[in-house]
Amino acid sequence: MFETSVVEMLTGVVRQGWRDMLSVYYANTLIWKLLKSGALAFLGVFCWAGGNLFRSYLPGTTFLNYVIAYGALVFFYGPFTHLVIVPLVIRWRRKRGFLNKVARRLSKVNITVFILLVLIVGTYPPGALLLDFDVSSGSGTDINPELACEYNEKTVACELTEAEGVAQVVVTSGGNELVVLQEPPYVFEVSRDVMVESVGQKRFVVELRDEDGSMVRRFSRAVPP
Amino acid sequence: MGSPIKPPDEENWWDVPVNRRESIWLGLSAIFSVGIFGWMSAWTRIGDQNPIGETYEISTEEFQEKVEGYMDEAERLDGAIVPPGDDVYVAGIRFQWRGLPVVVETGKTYRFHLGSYDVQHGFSIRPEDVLSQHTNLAVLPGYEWVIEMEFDEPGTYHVICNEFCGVGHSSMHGRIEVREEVNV
Amino acid sequence: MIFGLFDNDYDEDGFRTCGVTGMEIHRTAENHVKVFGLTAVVALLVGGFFSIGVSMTRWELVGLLGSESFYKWLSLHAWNLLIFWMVFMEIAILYVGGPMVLGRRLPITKVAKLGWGTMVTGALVINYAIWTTSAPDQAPLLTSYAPLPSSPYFYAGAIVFILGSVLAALPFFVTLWQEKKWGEGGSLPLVTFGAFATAIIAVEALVGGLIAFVYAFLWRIEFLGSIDAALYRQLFWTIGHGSQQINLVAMVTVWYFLTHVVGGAEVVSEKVSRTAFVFYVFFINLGAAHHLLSDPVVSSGWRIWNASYAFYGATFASLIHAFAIPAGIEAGRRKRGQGGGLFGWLTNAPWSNPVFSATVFSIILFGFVGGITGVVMGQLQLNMTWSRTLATVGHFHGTVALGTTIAFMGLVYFVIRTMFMRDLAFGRLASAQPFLYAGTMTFATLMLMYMGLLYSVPRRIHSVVREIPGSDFSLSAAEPLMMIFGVFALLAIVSGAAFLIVALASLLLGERKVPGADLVPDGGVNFESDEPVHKFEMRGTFVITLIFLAAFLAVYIANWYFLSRLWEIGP
Repeated sequence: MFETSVVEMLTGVVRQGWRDMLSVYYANTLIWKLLKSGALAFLGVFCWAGGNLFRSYLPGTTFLNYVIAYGALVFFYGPFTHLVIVPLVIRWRRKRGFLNKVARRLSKVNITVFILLVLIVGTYPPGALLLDFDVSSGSGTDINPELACEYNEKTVACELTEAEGVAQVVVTSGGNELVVLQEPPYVFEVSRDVMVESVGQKRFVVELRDEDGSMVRRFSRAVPP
Repeated sequence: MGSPIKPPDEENWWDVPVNRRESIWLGLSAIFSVGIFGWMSAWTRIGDQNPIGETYEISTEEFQEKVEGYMDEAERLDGAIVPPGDDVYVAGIRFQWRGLPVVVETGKTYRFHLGSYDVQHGFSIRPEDVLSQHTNLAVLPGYEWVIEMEFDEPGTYHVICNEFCGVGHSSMHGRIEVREEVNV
Repeated sequence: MIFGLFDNDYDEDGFRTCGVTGMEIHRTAENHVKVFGLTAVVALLVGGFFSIGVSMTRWELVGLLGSESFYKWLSLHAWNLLIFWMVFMEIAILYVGGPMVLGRRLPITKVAKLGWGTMVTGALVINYAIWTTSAPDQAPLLTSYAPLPSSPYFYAGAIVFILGSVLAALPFFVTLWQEKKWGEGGSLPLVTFGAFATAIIAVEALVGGLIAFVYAFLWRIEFLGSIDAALYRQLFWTIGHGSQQINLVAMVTVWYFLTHVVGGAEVVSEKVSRTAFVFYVFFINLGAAHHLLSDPVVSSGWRIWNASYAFYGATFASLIHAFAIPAGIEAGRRKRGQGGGLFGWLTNAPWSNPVFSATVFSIILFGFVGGITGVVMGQLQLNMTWSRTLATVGHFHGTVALGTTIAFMGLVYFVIRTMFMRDLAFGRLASAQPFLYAGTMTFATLMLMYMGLLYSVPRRIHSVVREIPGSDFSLSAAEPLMMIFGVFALLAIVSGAAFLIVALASLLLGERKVPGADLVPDGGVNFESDEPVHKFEMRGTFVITLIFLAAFLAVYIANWYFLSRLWEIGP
């Protein structure tokens, strides 16, 4: 007795759920169409990005390609279905003859087409769908210069080593330009007096630039008292 | 009448029964809240990834001496520092990571000593071939944070600073080389 | 034009009866709400303007600003939106929730005016200080993490603004005291109770912030010899997250108010909703440490306690409202005969009324986008992956832009209609605007989140995707997501501008129109019925919240799976 009622309850829930799903699917007011489209687009982006994220951790898991394909496709197909197809089905069902016949089958055809698309795109995913998670060749050059400074009583003397790729060195303090070096050796000496003090510290900035004048490295150093 | 802009209709609104579905939801929410607390706490014991380590107060000058000394004494392999023991020192300074590049062995637990010579930095690591794997820890001046790390997969792990430390912060980059074996 | 904005018809005592809500509104309360509300909209305009520079620089294809300017624009975007737009609006909300709902005058109006003037002064000083930042000072961003120095005027301005906010909040507390002393007794209306919770949290947060900024200011002017970075972080985040919780509780209070007035929602359980507000008061302010989860110094015990017992008390409270608010709409509307199937009560609601659509989008998006990510990111260990990346930025755009800002936009539309008594200009655009902003901003926010999660793209950085200066490493793999972000960010900015255009055109050029039936739900705001509201069906809400819980679990479990695959960190 108890078992039957649990089974009955569950089948009741499932049946009601299916009825609810159908009524949501066919709901045709503007707000319903917008909400359904928005929700599916949201779900699509989530599946596409999430699927790719999982793929980076589990490369070679083909199931994920279908999740990714589903996500990318439903982002467009979901709104298309609910903004175009469903209203069309509802409008044509009210007519007679050929259009009525088409309308009766259109939803099933539509979802079949969608599933087929997901299967095809998931099996042969185009490059754009799958995100890369490694480093393609970079654009910049790797430079690792060292700035060695000596803090004398009246001056600060610095030398920049391992500075291949550096075309210009600009030394500033508090925004004031102190020294500009256009070619190696990058050695300079600056008087402590011209350094700007802030919050009890004198600081200077050494900026390294490439030929285009863009920054490749910066050093911001404090002058010990 | 249940208006939120009027005082409640019932004097004893506390005794008004709660809708059955709302009660179910309250139960689910309570279980969920306790569950996520429990999981997070349990992970500190059963899990391998916890931002937990001893912190020592140390002045920026002292920390600088410590790290520069470590760098001067350490041997190098392909330009990267080979830590003499299990201790790896990394310091953030505008705009570099001192102590990097460093080369470490897979499967070995190292004590990373994180600190800063000047301002707050963010120690953000990811492996080169799986950019989605990422952790980051705050690096504060005045403190040395000793946190254990062990890398299982060999490769190059790139370190970026992800806490704003001034204009130029975007150039703070370093590397941790992880190899099966480190022979100097 | 501008003076016609404060000229409603009042009786000789200064009261008028609102034709929409039935509230007795005094001139002093209404005029101050209008002033604070207008100031908030100006802050939105300024902060929204700066978002152009920020988004179009992070979108490195455009790379609009150089690095020095970028960090300044980022700071101005943050302060004008997260602090000024929010706090001015929240003072207005306190005055609505307190004196307006209770039908009282606004007491100590001189203090209210002084508070406004002080807040505006502080805001102007902060804007000026950030704009004129020059080396060796750095732009403060939001947090001004010591010992990176900002302009001393910045800290001073922050102190002034906070003091002004405390002053401006005082009339609300005096109103409650007067109500208790001279009122009819009995419980406060729920909206007032929510405003009260907001105000308590606000004062705690503001006082904490005062301490943090005074400490930093004294260090900056060299009165103190040094500053402890860890202590500053702890102090800052008392106001840092506290202020966000003010936004949260204020937003929830606005939800109850607007869903009732334009949607016909009712309170399904006073007990449950009030308990949730009380939870907020007790647990929220301890939530500061979830900004310190990947920090040294703070013990793991304190971080776990703070992030969980304390914070999950607040999370539980939010989960309560997550059910109570839609349930209120559902049961309230079913009671009015507006039911119909599982979701009919929602879909036959007045969606063309931007006040309603904004409120509902705020509820849905705050939950699904902002709330889930906040709790996930607030788990001690997951925080290592999320913090300081664009995933964090995605989270707080989910809460503050998709949640609070959209709700406040709805409130501004409401105030324009019912207090300024102006018709909304560009009617079709006004109806569409919440949809446009919600849609575009959602996808921009999701892209930020995905860039942070999939590529750990840092936040607070000028360029890192196309190129890391001086290195051959970059996060160029994130470029596809960045492109999608850039497009949606532009569209979101346009949608935000649409709000400002509608709001300002309505105020300055609009026809005066006494609000009427188009604003209220069927059957009017007060609808009598034999059945108490908690007896009505809440099946639709139950389905929505179960879907929400399922989404929560999916995101939660996925994140923990990813973490478990990382290298070992910690003991």
